[in-house]
Amino acid sequence: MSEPLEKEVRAALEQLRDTQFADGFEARAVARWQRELGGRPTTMAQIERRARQFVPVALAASLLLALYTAYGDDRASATNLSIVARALGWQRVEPSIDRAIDAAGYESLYATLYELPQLNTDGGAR
Amino acid sequence: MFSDGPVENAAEHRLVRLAAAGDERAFREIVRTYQATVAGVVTAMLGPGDDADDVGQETFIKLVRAMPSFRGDASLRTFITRIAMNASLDMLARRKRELRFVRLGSDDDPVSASLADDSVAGDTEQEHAERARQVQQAIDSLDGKHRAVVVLRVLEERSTNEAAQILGVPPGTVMSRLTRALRKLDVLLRPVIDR
Repeated sequence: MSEPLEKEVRAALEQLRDTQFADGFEARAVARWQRELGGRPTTMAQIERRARQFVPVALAASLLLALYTAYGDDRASATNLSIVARALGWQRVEPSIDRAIDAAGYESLYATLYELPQLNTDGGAR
Repeated sequence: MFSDGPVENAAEHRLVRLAAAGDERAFREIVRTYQATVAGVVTAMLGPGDDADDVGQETFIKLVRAMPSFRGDASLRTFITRIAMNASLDMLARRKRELRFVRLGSDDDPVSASLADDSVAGDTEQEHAERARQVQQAIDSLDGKHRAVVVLRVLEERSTNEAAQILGVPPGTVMSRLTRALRKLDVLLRPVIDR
């Protein structure tokens, strides 16, 4: 590798590395760790498993909102929904997430889905 | 800040054991101490953003969970770098799977096409920005395992043996991946660098 090339590559990577996590990372990590201690789903694989259980009975907005709940209220933001949606291969649906939730009415969907047993227990009824 | 000495290692292990037992203060201390290290690895691998943040959090959870398998033959920094790197590679693999479904695909090789584009702006600042973008694009075109060795060897300046330990592959594999990665970067970026 030539010296100028190595310099350019290192500079590009350093620029990335110097971009630290957004403010509040420690709090987010601690909240997630606490969910882990509480036996709630924390890893993407766990969330994906739960989401797949849920697919047959959910409309798009309902599914995403269920994941919202499963993921934990303190991470309930459109940003994190996007992460989950992408993990499920829903990348192309992302821009419509907020609109779908708005249209469906967050409060009523949340109230309905919150009662579903599969959100809080493994192997619950669909 | 911790270093790699035996006393510091013992203190580090104790902290992780406490966190594994549910001690929040210990967990916070670990996050504070290693946040920059983890951010460095995952953002170099994934770019900044939600995925990096998510993988960063996952790294600390995995660290605490993996504590029983930590033999202490490497520093905690190396151990956590390995976890962060593996979690980043998993995320890259996931992205790749998703792209297979969503890519509408017009260019067969968008990286080469873009890098071959000579329409660089005239003034120096713009030229610099364009060049940085092209270098970044070339790095992004490396697959995960090749990008990982570039990050560890070129950016983190880890030795071949350390990189091998982090990636869980023989040193010879690190060297061959690095050679292949640098050759690809050289081919892609030579026109940019020589310009």
